[in-house]
Amino acid sequence: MTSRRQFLGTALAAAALPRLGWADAGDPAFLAAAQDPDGSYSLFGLSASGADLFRVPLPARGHAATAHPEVPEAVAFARRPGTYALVLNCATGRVIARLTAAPGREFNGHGAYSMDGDTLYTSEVVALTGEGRIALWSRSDGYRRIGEVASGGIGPHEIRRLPGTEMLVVANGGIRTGPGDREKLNLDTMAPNLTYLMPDGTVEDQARLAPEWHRASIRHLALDAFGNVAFAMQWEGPVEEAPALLGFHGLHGGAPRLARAPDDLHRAMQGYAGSIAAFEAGGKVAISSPKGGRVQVFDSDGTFAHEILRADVCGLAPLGDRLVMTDGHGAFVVTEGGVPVGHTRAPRAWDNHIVAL
Amino acid sequence: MRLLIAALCLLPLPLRADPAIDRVLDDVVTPGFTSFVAATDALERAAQADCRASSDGLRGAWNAAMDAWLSVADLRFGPLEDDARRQIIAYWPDKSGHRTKALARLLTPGNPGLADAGLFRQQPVSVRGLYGIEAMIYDSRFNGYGPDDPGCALVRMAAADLDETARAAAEAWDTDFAATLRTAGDGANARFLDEIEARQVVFTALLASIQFDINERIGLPIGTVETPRPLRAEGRLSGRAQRNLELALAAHERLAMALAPDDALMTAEDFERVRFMAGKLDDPDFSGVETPTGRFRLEAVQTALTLLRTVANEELSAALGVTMGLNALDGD
Repeated sequence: MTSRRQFLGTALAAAALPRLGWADAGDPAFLAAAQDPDGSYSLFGLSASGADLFRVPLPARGHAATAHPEVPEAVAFARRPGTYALVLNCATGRVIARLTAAPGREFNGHGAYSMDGDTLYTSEVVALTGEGRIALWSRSDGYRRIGEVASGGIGPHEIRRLPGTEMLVVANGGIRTGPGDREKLNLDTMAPNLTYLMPDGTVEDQARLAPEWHRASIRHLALDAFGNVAFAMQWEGPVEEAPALLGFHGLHGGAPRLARAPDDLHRAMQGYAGSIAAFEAGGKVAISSPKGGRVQVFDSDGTFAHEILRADVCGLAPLGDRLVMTDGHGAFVVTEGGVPVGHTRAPRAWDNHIVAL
Repeated sequence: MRLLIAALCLLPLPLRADPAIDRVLDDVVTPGFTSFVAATDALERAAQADCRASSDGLRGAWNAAMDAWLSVADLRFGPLEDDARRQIIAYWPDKSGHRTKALARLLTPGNPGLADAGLFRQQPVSVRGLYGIEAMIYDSRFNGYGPDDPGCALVRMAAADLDETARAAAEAWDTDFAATLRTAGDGANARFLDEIEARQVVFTALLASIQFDINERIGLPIGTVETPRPLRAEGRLSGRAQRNLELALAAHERLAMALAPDDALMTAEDFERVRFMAGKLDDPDFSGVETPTGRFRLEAVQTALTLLRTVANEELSAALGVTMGLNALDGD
């Protein structure tokens, strides 16, 4: 729920700012982080056909981004364990705020905005313990950190807001890492979950995997317009034992439904799904495996549809009925029905995610 | 904000032959597969003529086939990766020791897996291909068979199966995959969307092959300082660990120079140095890793190769306009 204070803040901020809509940024359709040939990192705004519209240098390797629901503003997140997040004016490419991790906290690479766009939620961990936090930042107050709530698990990764509500869904990956590094400390006891919570921290629902699959880290999320959640997993056990890497769930939906490709194709994913996207109005869901060099597409009922082979592919995003994929070799590829229908190439390595605006 | 469209290659590129791909096909793929198929043919004939492990003809033919394999093994895309052909031809490393157990299971009188080619193809990959035959003719636990024993049937069956697999890979290159590489960027080519993707796949295979030497071919026998693992060396049984490494290095160099003959001068210098160092190892089966000197020498080759890989990555990616990916290496 929007508080009166938040509402007034938004109203004041809205009155003070020139009214720039997303179209003023040259209609970027996507945001994606990349590594440039000189080893530096940038965030790019891309048109629907994959042309560069703007580039913003990043201080360190980026991961994902989230776009403000109304104004051409986006937040680019550092790769975990992250120390920074940058708020960008996507019309001018200017950095309008720099978020620094609070003492003892680390950014985990993803975030989401509230319905009115005045609160930014970031997935964070307590550096010492790996306990998950969702931090709240007030846009109207200059992106001041105004609080935090427990994420409902260890090592939260992606968070999304259910469409039309203030409810957040959090992929608590379950993996505890040491402060400032990526070493995994609890693979024997990890217990990922999918948590639905309100911004005040009230947990509305929580979904877990069967105990034998507790090493399937739930990390990335895709939602359809009705708030149905698809989630992508990364298996931390022996690769030949990898279970399904894709799951479906809905609020108060009980146990998640899992989906996997036929055996040979499933094995080729190497127990790893790096990104997920829902497209065709939620009728299809794709997961990518850069390790396996492939994208696998499923119907929303979990039926395997087809796969697309692309080396080092990771980023996935919907483009209406089409699916966009980016890879570490610089290609931005638009596919339709599993077939490439257009692409661009740039001299850079696209990083894990491409975010549709 | 300034648009960076200038930095972007808008595609498709005009269709024309890519000289880098032409050189890879003409200098590496075509001669490599011609030799490899000729060698597996000869191995099959030698096994038919005299299947015994003591046969000079058989040993010579097997060694020639191993040599020829190393000249195409870097082609880690297309036909050698389809239908598990690489595993069938060269299942190594066998870290869990599947081969010995699977051979022992198969080597029983009257085993139908040794009488029928179709049933042999259903056997574990560890008993098939070059290393399966190596174990049969060089491992003292297996190489005492006579002409009427299951061992003889296995060697003949494995040699014929290897030859068939090599032919299938060569034919797939010839009738299909070479054209797929050459027509990169053609609207109908869904595999390679542009010229860069064809170069990329070769470049990535080269770097992966160099990494394979660093991690496996050298790294496995080196083990740790406390526990060197000479028994894990490739070609330990046949005493050709060093030879395999030298031939692998020569193959990497040929592929690198086919990709960028004029723009990889430091890479070429590094190859010369690493091949010189490998040639001086004087350690045919890498058992020297158990001595301080032997270990030091092999580690020096490994270090030099690691540096070479960095240089090759820089020079070749610049020359070819390709980018080494980062997603497959360390996900999140």
